[in-house]
Amino acid sequence: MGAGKDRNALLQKISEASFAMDEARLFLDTHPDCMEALHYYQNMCAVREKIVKEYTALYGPVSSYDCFCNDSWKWVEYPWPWEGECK
Amino acid sequence: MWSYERRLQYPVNIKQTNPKLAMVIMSQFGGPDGELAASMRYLSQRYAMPYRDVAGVLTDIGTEELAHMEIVSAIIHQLTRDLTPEEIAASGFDKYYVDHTLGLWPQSAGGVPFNSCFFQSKGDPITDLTEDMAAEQKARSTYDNILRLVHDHDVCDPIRYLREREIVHFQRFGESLRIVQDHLDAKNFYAINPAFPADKAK
Repeated sequence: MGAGKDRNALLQKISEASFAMDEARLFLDTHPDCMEALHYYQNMCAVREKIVKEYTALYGPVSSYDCFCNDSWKWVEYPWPWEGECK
Repeated sequence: MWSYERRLQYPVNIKQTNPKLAMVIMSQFGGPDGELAASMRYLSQRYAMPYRDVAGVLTDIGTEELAHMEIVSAIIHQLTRDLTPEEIAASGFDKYYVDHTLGLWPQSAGGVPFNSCFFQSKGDPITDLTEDMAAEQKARSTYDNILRLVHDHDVCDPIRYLREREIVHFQRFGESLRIVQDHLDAKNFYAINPAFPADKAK
């Protein structure tokens, strides 16, 4: 299933950028003046936004607040993350 | 994956503390029909739900219940902040205070600790959704009971909002149950459990 492979690869990129932000956020909570961490957070935020946009256009919404559907509601149509890759 | 938004789903701005009322409202945090039990019920049930649209309802309502837990917690916090030892002793809040000071800990109004026996995750879509509909009505009754004891508009207002959401959720779970039944044998909904693979192979 080629489409599923591409989808999972892009989702993996979202997870990586998101985790980078999760980790930097925690660090910044206790080091709010660290310029290096602040720039890192901003960079990863831009990276994440770009990949999420690309993923959403191809495979549907990651977040329900970004679910814009013209003809029918897509939020409940795609596989849920707990279904695993084989579905 | 979840992420936090720095906002309440409905605002809570209480000017007058009332520890006695906080003890009662605490049941909707960690009590048998409270928001914590509601969230854990739906989020636990969704893994065995074989229909994606209904799993979506469980995800979305389970997520909203976490936001409701935050609203109830904000109400309790604002009703009990800045209390003096005299106010604590006079209001009957002392039995809670001795173990938790002014911190939040999930328990019922009667002091029974939160327990996952407050809800079920049966792995059977009809059973789970029927439980969910009953749970929404039980929470609605609890909010009705609370509203009879509340005379402060600042407290009434978010409680009325939460009560209204129980009714909306009851409606959506009813629709979800109908979606599940549409997938099943119309002559016998109980012929198989669609969440149990060995049954589906029959």
